[in-house]
Amino acid sequence: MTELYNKNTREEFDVLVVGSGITGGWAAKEFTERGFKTLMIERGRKVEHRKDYPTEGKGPWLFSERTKVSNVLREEEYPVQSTCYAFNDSTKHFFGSDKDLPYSTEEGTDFRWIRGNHLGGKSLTWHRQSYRMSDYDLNANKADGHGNDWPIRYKDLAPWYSYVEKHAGISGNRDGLAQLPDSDSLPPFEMNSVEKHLVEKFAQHYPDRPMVIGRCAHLSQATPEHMSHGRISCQARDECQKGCSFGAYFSTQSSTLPFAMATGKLTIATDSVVHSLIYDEATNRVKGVRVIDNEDLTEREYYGSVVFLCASTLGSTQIMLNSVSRRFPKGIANSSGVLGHYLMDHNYNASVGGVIDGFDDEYYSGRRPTGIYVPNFQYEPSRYKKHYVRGYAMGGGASRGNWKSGQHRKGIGAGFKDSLTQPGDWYFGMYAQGEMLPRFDNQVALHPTKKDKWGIPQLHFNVSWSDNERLMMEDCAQECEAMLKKAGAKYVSSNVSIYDSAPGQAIHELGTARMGRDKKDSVLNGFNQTHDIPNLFVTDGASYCSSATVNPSLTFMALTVRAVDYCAKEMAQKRI
Amino acid sequence: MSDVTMQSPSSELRRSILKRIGAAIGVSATGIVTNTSICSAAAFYQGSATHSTNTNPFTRDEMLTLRSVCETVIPKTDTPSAADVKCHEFIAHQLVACHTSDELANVKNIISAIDSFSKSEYGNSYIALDSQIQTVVLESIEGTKGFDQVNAQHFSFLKGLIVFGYFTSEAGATKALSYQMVPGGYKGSIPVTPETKSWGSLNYY
Repeated sequence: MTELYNKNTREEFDVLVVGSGITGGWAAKEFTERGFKTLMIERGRKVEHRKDYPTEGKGPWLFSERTKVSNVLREEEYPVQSTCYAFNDSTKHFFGSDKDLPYSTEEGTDFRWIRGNHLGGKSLTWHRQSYRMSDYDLNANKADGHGNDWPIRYKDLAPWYSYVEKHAGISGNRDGLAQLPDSDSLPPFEMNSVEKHLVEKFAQHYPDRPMVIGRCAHLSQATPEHMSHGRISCQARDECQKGCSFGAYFSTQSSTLPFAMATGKLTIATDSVVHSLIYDEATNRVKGVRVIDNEDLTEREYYGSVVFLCASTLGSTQIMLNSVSRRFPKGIANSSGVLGHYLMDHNYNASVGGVIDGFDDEYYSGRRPTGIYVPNFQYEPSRYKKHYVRGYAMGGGASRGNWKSGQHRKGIGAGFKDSLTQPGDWYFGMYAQGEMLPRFDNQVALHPTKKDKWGIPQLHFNVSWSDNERLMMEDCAQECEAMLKKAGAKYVSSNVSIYDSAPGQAIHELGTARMGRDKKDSVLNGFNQTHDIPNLFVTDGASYCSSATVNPSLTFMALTVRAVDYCAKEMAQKRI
Repeated sequence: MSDVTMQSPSSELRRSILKRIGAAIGVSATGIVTNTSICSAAAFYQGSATHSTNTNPFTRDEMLTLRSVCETVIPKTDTPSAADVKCHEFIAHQLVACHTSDELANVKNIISAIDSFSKSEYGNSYIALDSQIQTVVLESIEGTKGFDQVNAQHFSFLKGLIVFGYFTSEAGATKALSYQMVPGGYKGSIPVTPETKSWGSLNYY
């Protein structure tokens, strides 16, 4: 029996998986279940399911700042991470320390790099929204000429979406929309009455903009199969970023890692920061990885027949850029020269809100871990606005006011106190989830001189929004405002935040080792295999050709399991 | 704020959590979820918070006034007051821990303005006034009668802190409001009754 946690292993593995987040977990599960001896390499500490969720279930009164981030934490430890919506005193242990993880940005630009460097990665803290990409998304670059054509289409992904959805558990309605293919889903979460009312209002005034319930990686109703995984139905706490001992949302710990562990084929090396890949020019194969110990900074190497980079878009890209050889002086598998270019994020920089009259006699119970969703309605060129290309989806929801919305209301004494304990007005809000175009100029590179404490060159970002993104957000704010007004909302106000909001904050970094049919302008083929080196794969968001509007993690899962299936077959045929 | 007590959830609350977890296990009885795997989840409900070592930025007199203002804004009714849950001590801590020195100075200014106004208008310090007069004093700030717009802004900021401190305290969140530690699922519509209180359990505070 292999020792599960062993960073000092000298074994030769069939597969090295770099990273343990959403894609790393899936890669490890799929390879080990096929009988391959697999090493999962994680740069951070070990996080064990249930045991290492120290803040789970704790009320705000148990935190000395009531979960707010203190000045000391913000200034000294987490100046970047603390700008993330999910970062607070009760979740900070699942974010990387900015002090240890420096990076730089080109003058006049900014980028927010949110980190999750521990076993499970950002699968523990993700927002869990899960949508399939459609053929409109995968055809977008070809249709309007921005970016290179995806080498895959929906039919290539559909069976793999089903495969991961059934295991992970995706809650959602079967809405039958061409622009948002249905998932193999568990029952949807319920809408509240105001949301149901607005579905009808929007349908009246905007028949091309259906509003559906958000699809999310939660066990809305655990199946006997899920319960046999040690997971039960979502209890609607919506405190997911603290970890969930019910295993009710998909994470590496709750869903993929237990299966990889059960095979006896898995070894995990935590605290192992991958410095670079070891390349053998004679055979044109990657032989292994060079690692610096996270804590004592000593060096070691791991060896395997195949390397899967699942280290997050920027993590994988950094490793590749830092893997230089005579054959690949600009980074491994970078004969195209596009490695690090075409960096994208999503554009979440417009929002709208308003008050909905009525429904005073209704409330809701539980904290629903999803909201409503209006899929992109500008999903093909004939539906584009005249002054910019592509489109946006909208997320949001309806809720009643509480003490937070009433805290500055006038009033002193028992009446004021009482008013804050009653459910307030119904408020409905939406925010933009816009597409960001792939542009060559949006680049991440290695800094020529600055290194981190592991001796690895720091990433240097040169990323900006373009006019297309700005025009899209202005339009979104106007459109959403009009929608709410037509639906009868009062006190409607909108906001555009793109002028003072850096890319990165949607935490959907994509595109820096993109797929493509032509090895001259892409790093990966349609199976996430590098064009240049047969035994090197990248299955995280680096492989994206366009951002689309949908949250990407479900597609990361599908791409990963599809790549493993392909790789295993190629190995059986001795082509790898 | 060394003597703000941080307690684990009340035993009542803990029992209800355990009941919820028990119910969850019942639901999953057909699966292979073992008692130990889910019940280990109960362990984290017994936590203790880290204590702060910040020095109190207020003088004793300022603290007394602040305590009294907390009591006036959110008085004791059938549930504890903001002073009962030591909101004033929380505010003294929070201003140093999470806010700017300007914001701290603004709070000091409004406390001082409240006391000066009390003395000039009613001939006594704020804490010595009758509670009805105290209410009138604070209403005067919000109505900018004898106070200016800047005073009103500073008071509004302080009021936000009182409200935050109160409804994130254990009694505020669980007694003045309804607290669902483990809701057990989401229902999109439940009726509002005279007993309905808004939810004190939130995903983000």
